[in-house]
Amino acid sequence: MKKLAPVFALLSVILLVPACKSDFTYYYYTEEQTKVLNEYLDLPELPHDYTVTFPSHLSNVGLFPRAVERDKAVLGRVLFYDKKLSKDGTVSCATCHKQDLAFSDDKAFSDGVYDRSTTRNSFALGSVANFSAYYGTDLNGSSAIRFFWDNRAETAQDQSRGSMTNANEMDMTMHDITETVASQPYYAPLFDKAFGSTEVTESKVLEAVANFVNAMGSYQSKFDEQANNSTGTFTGNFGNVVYGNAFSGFTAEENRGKELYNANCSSCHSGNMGRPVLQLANNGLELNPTDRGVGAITGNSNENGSFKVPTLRNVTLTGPYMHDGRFKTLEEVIDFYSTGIQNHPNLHSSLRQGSNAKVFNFTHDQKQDLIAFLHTLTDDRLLEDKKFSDPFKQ
Amino acid sequence: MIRNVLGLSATLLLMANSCVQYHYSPNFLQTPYHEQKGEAVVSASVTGGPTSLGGDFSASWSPVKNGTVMLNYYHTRSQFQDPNIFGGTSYIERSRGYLMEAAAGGYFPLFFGTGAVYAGGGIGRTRNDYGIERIADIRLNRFFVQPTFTFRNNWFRLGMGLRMVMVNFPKGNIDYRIEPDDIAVIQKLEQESPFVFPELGGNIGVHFKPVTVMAQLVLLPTQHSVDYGFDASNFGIGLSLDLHELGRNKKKPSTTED
Repeated sequence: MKKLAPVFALLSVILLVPACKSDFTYYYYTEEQTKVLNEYLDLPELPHDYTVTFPSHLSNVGLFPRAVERDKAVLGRVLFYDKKLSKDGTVSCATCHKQDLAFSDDKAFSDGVYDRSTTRNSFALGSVANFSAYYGTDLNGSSAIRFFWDNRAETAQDQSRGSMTNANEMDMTMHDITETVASQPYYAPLFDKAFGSTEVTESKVLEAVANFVNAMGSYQSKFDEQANNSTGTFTGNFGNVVYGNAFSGFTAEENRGKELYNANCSSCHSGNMGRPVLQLANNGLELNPTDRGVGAITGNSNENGSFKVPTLRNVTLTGPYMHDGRFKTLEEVIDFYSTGIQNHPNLHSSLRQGSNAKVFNFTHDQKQDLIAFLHTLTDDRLLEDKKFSDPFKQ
Repeated sequence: MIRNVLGLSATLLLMANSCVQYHYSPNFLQTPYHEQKGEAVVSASVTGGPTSLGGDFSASWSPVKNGTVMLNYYHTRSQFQDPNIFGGTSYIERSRGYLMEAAAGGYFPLFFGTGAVYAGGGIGRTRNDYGIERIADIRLNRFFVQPTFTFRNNWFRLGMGLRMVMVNFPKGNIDYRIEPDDIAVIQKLEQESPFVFPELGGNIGVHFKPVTVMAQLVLLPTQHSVDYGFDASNFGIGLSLDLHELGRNKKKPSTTED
């Protein structure tokens, strides 16, 4: 028995081990980097996670978000909010894309440098499940969601370059941008983490902003919660699904609104809010539009007066509405669709009735039901998520 | 026979690990072949595959009748094969780790062969490099209880056992630039440690007095290898030297002393 003493001693130690708690230390920035960053920025000690994971009702039908590189998104967040990247130091991407408004602006035309204004309403970056979403394997093709009201930008990089260099917005050249970025001490640690080098190039700047923008998305609304637990009808169009059955977690008003939406709006804006069914459409805003929209880009007269069709996520927050912000409220938008569609020659077929513009003639109650449903598309998480907020110390 | 053993060894070596980062890799399950007081054995094995190389060293001694003490040391490192600009392949070290431990136990004769039970514990460390100097440096300690069965005769050795281990990861120093998926695994290690699981191991050898040529294999037959980045198996070949057989080929050791 005496000889087994060492064995018993070892067993005692084994029994004591579970009481030991693991103590792991995670580090990201060096002490010196932290010191520099803390002077200008309010960044967490460890970076936020920017992984985008779609709810099952979207991923099950083949819609995926592009992978986001966390360290580049961290850098992209700072670039997105940095006013130094504009000619007069007063405008950043966030000036026109405000987080509490689902990254839209509450002005019809946003403020640019030197009191200039944009020529179109700022598009809500939170109006889609995710701008980098694609269907199947079609990363940049026809299923990808394009940027700008006239769809002229294929990727977030193109979009960022467009805004940074637009005379009415930030009015910089990409050379100005890289020089400005290189001169700010807080960018060196961020570039080091994102790219393994402090060298600043145009493509790195754009890639970082794109990663941040691609991480944004709205996919945790009340609608998503309900759609995850429901079976919809696949429409055969880019992962578009329509949920015909009433959602158990919706009020009667919301369900009636959903029914109206499915019948009258989903064929363009999509039934599952995954991606718009139509990339562009002329919705009959006016007979003689001064802004040719997509037609001005493509030179195709059949596309004159056509603009991007958004999904309607967070739509209750993203007014004023349309490409020129002409409608201040959702009521005005629904009134327009109810009785105001103009019979433009390019008017989309789904807004036609024979050779005339369609008249939906929604009743007052129907309008209220529709608006109640649209409220279920708000993703409060996106509006408050710290990882998308302004990182600069005020 | 030797040719067969070597052939099997080579096949298993080629099948060995293709992954390069592990948070735990099992050492060989040592089965001292002691049957008498005074017997002492040292052994050394090499382990590895296309991307990894390790060494496993063990010493055991029976100071008293039916009692054994044992020391084990295991070191492993793995490399990442990276095509270089010259069209060749660069080998970049991505992982290294060690485990050293002591154990004690008792053995007893069975109708056929020898049975034994050992218990022990030790410390170790794994250092994984995820590229651009993103390091996860994790300490571990391990305790185990292992019943074994061994059989030996003048020219043949066979040993097998079941090792119940408890691995604890008490401390880590982690670069958070490591990819989120890998960080998630490390955080699981931190949160769910300690881990208790079985390992199966055995060895087979041909004895040429006082040396044994042997092949060793240990398996971790649980989901841990997938969930926590543990190495699922370890295979190697080695030599062991029966110290008590050195210089006394003609004289049989005492069986009665205590």
